Amino acid sequence: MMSATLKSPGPAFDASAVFLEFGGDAVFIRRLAALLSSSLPVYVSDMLAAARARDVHRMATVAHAIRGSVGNVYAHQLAALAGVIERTARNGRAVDLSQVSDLEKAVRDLLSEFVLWAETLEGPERARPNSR
Amino acid sequence: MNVLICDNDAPTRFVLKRILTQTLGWSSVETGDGVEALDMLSNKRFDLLLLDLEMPQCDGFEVLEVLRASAKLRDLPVVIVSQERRREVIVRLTEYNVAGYLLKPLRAEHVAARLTGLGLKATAHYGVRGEVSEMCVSPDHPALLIDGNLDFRHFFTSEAERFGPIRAAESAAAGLAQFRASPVDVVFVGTKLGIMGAEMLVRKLRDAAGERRVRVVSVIESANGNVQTFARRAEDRVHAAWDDEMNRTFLPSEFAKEFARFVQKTGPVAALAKALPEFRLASASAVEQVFGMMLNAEVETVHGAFDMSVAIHSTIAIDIDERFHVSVSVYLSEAAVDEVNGVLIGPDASSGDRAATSSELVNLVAGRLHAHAGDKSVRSVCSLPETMTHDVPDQLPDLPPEQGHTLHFRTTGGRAPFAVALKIELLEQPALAS
Repeated sequence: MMSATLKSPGPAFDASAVFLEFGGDAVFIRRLAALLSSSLPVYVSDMLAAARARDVHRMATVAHAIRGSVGNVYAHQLAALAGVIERTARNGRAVDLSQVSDLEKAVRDLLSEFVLWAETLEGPERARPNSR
Repeated sequence: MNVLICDNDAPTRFVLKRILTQTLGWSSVETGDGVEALDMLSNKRFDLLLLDLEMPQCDGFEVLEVLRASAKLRDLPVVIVSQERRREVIVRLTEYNVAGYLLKPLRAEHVAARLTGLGLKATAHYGVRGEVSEMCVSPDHPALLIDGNLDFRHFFTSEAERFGPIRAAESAAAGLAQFRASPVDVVFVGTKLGIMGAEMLVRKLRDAAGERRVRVVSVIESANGNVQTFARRAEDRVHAAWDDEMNRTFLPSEFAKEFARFVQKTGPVAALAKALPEFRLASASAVEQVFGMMLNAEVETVHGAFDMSVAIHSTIAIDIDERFHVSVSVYLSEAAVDEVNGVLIGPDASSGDRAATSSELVNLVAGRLHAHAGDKSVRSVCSLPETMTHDVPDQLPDLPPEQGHTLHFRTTGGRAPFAVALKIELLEQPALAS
């Protein structure tokens, strides 16, 4: 079955769901990985700056953006963590800095796992009929 | 449908664009900024705006306020794309007469269902463009490329000439002279046009064409090859004069994808479009859509002829690994035409990246067939007779036994508007299963 191209996905995202959602389009998934690699570090950097400045409004906005972005690749845990920060910040409460650190690490994990996984996907030119 | 996507998150725009293009067959351009969105909307007609709410500089509410206060754009359908669930935000949106709300994370099936469910139609303005959109490059219909970049002219002509003759001019003045001497149906206007700017060139081309129709295509720069964000210069005010635009690229695969819109289609797609022109706007990637549905649906194997009143028939054929010739035919019943909102035509097998995508999907479907039918049944062969791909048959043909076993199957669960015949020709031994 199609699992032949699902190479040891990490827990940071649901590889099977991503694979099915995008029809196994390896080219598209690799491009998506590149886009995430460009945008997520910027969000994290914004989040850290907002945390240092104790700007809860900005933190809520950035957390919201992260949550939306990683939802595209079924990164449920990271999305949930961003959601917690967003809700806390929206309520005007101080965000626990350890949560920001956790978020930073979760983004790092997602990117490394997703990019690695995307690279292992077989491109269309190498597509083979699945055999059992 | 021509859609503007406005969302500050690049991955989300990328996913949305894919859904619009591949699942719905709609064209789209994108921006990450509300200010730029307003600028683009004021310069070009769009049939729909997909709008994020939380954006820096100018958020979705500000965009909505400007649109609804504009005499020109107050009726533009807007669908909000957000993960915002707060009641006060939703209530506030009702003041702006939004057409719909897509909740993130976006999932293709849901997004496609919601957008088609809106029953949107291309604006009347596109009536004129709709006419010229049928004007394509073919062996009998040469096109003209006007571009000051020698490398790009060479690249463009070498890639495009297999579809029809391409004449090239190195400046607007030279291009205009060529057009006057020998008019063509399609003119591609690139960059570095010389002393005569794009705006004047387009105007003069149309003057020179007189009563004759001409499709003028802007070959515009891409700000980012991956994201396909079209760079739009603030001073460029000629968008309204373009009939169409294509991404300027030196990548053959990307070019093939872009240029496919300007190539005269043959086979069942063209035949159907000619017979039923009203489907043209909604037609595009049904094979992939159908496969996408199939991948998420349980399939039921039906042996023997699948007797249904067939209205539409489309076939793709792909060689995989030089070992298998895979032909997939999608048949849709007349009733299904309405049920799937008229989106029913698959891409030709030669349409660049899309064929590759289809190849992947065929691959997956083949795997599904293995699971459901077993190797014995799938070890079967041949595509339909060539003529059948150009006809609209009354029912699926029975293939002679010597041509192999044919599997006809349909989806279950009440969603069975179509039948699919998949045939795999084994080009070399060993057998499929190993």
